[in-house]
Amino acid sequence: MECREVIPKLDEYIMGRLDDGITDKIALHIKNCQRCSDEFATLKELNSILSIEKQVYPQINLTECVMNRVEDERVNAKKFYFNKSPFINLGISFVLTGMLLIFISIPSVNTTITKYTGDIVSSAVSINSDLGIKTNEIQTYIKKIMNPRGGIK
Amino acid sequence: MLKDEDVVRLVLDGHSEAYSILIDEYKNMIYDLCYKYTHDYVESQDLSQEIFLKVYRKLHTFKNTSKFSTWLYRIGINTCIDWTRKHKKTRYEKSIEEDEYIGRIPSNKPSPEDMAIKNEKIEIVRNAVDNLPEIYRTVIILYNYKDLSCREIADILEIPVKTAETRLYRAKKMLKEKLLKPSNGGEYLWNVVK
Repeated sequence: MECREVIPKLDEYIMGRLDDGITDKIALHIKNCQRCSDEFATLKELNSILSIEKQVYPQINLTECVMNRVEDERVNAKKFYFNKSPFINLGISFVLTGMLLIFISIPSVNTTITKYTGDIVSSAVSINSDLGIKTNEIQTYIKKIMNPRGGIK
Repeated sequence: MLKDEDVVRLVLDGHSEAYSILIDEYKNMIYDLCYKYTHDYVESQDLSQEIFLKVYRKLHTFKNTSKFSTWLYRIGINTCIDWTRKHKKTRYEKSIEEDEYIGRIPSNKPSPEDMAIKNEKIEIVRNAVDNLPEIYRTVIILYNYKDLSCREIADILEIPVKTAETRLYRAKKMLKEKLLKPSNGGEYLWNVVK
């Protein structure tokens, strides 16, 4: 192995994180190379200096705090989608209106709608005429109840 | 015992309470990672919550092509880097005393003088690491403080292994300049505090 191959791997060599094959080659190289041997010693010292920072641990309630927030999030996600933002509401309204207009403008749909509208109008007229007769009769009955002697008009 | 991927599947199937299994498993790892960036216990607690919440929201995007821990680390690091950018101004001003670090280090009651020296050393190391460019700082945190190999770091940062090795090498070179370079009195800065 050459120095340029050894130096980038020296750190992992110190930490014992390399395969046995490479570890042996680096060990052999360091024995015979002053430059890499010096680099090895410096890195070892540096790693020892850095190891002054120790592991720290969270408060016991971290899981509980996160789970509470997860639960809030889950509950909020179930709420009606339109409530989230007025801009989303407006956008969705426009899209739905547009889709409805396109649907109505399809010729076959348009014909069907006109036909049913006609049927509804004629039905309403016939109901009205039927009701007209009944209304007269009802008015007569009401008059009789309110004024049995025929004094009040 | 359930694998992480099985727990993820459970959560995605609607059993959100199973997410606590993942939090319990990784909270120490994430909290410590946050602390290495913030050097503040309260901030680390908040940041850890933020990371776990972010992971919960993104859980449906997790693919089994990488380990869950790798994916979690990736989100954690990105969140910590964002935090660092937002708090850049106050980044180097914090002292160890303010941080109540003393009370958190498990030790067999060293003398006040020893404690003071140790704190000063910690501060020197922190300043040196914190002042590294972000890409190098991240590699040092993952390699030296989280005990990850260059291969694992490469997976987390989605870079080639060779790039991870180069970044580590350059980071160490910069740290050598800062920590092992002779200071004013001709002594190494590290050795001055003894």
